[in-house]
Amino acid sequence: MTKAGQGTGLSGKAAIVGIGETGYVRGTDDSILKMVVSASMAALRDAGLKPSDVDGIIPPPGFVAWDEIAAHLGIPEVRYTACPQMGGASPVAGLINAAMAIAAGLAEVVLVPIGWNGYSALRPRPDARPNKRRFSAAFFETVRNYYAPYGLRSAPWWYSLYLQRYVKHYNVPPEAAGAIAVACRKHAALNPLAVMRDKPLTMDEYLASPFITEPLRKHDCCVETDCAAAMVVTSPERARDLRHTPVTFLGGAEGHPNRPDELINRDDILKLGLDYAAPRAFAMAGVKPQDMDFLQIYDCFTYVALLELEALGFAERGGAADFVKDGTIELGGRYPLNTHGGLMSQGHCWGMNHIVEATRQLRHQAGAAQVADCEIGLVTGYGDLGDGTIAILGRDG
Amino acid sequence: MTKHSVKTQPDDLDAEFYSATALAKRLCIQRCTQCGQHTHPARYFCPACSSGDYTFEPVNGAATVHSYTVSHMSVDPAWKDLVPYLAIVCELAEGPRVIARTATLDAANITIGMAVRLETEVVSPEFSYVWAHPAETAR
Repeated sequence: MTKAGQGTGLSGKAAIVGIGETGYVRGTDDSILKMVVSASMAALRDAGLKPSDVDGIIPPPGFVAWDEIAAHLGIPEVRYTACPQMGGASPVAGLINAAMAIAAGLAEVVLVPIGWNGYSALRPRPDARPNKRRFSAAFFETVRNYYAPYGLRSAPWWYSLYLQRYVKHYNVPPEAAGAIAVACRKHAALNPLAVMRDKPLTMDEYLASPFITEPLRKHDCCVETDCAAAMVVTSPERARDLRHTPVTFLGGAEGHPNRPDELINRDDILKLGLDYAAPRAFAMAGVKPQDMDFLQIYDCFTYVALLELEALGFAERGGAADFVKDGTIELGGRYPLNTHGGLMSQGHCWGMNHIVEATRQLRHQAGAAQVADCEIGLVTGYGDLGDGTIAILGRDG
Repeated sequence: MTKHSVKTQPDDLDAEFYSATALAKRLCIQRCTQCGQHTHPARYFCPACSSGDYTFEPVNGAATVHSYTVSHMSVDPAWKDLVPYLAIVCELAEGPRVIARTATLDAANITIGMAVRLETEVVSPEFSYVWAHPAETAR
């Protein structure tokens, strides 16, 4: 049964036909460029397409650019490029953008890759060549001028400025965040590509892990990883001639906090971009949150994932603790979450790994983590200072 | 008082904000000359009325705790010996929120909504610290 056809706008106008990824490792000799083009070539082979079939490239928001991707892959004629600039919300934004370009006739086969040296950048090997690849964002000015002087230099510290209000104002118990961490770790044990596949985590171990900056404990933070991943998107018509069951784009949206470049002077500092985006995506797809068979939630930090679940409508503000308890978000539960292990336990690939996993699930190729007979699921993105994206995907057939 | 390792590079209105604060030796926040709205960080157009006319005016220092974090570790050499340390999101009586550090408030006793009093420590024309103190203490 297909869910396509009951939506509006871009719903049903594009499909994911190829996925590729490198290993997820902590330490590599491969450059970011090499990892990104390797994952891209893997995605093309998975789709049964050649570089010459690609006519659109949506590059990552940093590190590598569309032109070198085209040159290294041997893509002879690029007709469309665009680059969403929203950190970890970018891959899902890239999918929406690809669907738009395909629906508009600007491109037919769009490649969307991302990758980085999230582990090695901070721990270069003594003999390693200097890494000149950088990710830049305008909000770094806000950080430099207003946050970093107060000992708030990177993401756990910035986001704690609002997450602590979430915890204290709504009395969110640490067990709620722990449920996210434990579920991701359990799912990672089923994934041969997961960084944390051999490291079980119990709730007691989660609760005993030291604070980094309150409310974030060590086990609330995702794992820094070297990796790349990519997807190939095309029209539904062409998708049906390719190797795999197409995964149809049913709905999607981006949303942004007001003001997007600064965290603390928002009327409601807990209102994420996803709060704005989610209702529009469900409306486009013509479905409800309760129709989902799985949830691939951008989990840079557990408490951010809780706020996303609330933004999606699975709980009232402050109420995600009740939603995530009793195994609901684990495989076998009603809403399995991050069935690959997520950023928390597979690795941090900017959420492209969430799209890759959603695609595997809907093809029914997810191995030990397969959600039986799944037909529809969602992927979220979260980036920079709260940008949010969501895509609702369905199994074609 | 402070081991400074501040590497701010303000430009545009961020430079005007720090410059005004350093000159007045008090926290100065952008204020719209048309509608009176206070805005921080400063913006070229007032978010309330879209006017482009503004001044930087001293605020009185009364604020409440809107949020905070207690850091138990730091990757910053200037802060790693100061753990645990507080960074407090303070809502000024005038409306905007700023981050403050503290030497007189205790992480164990801080609560959201509690009143605090802010003071400014000028470091350079390009940066001033905001320090938060218990509201009832004398200046």
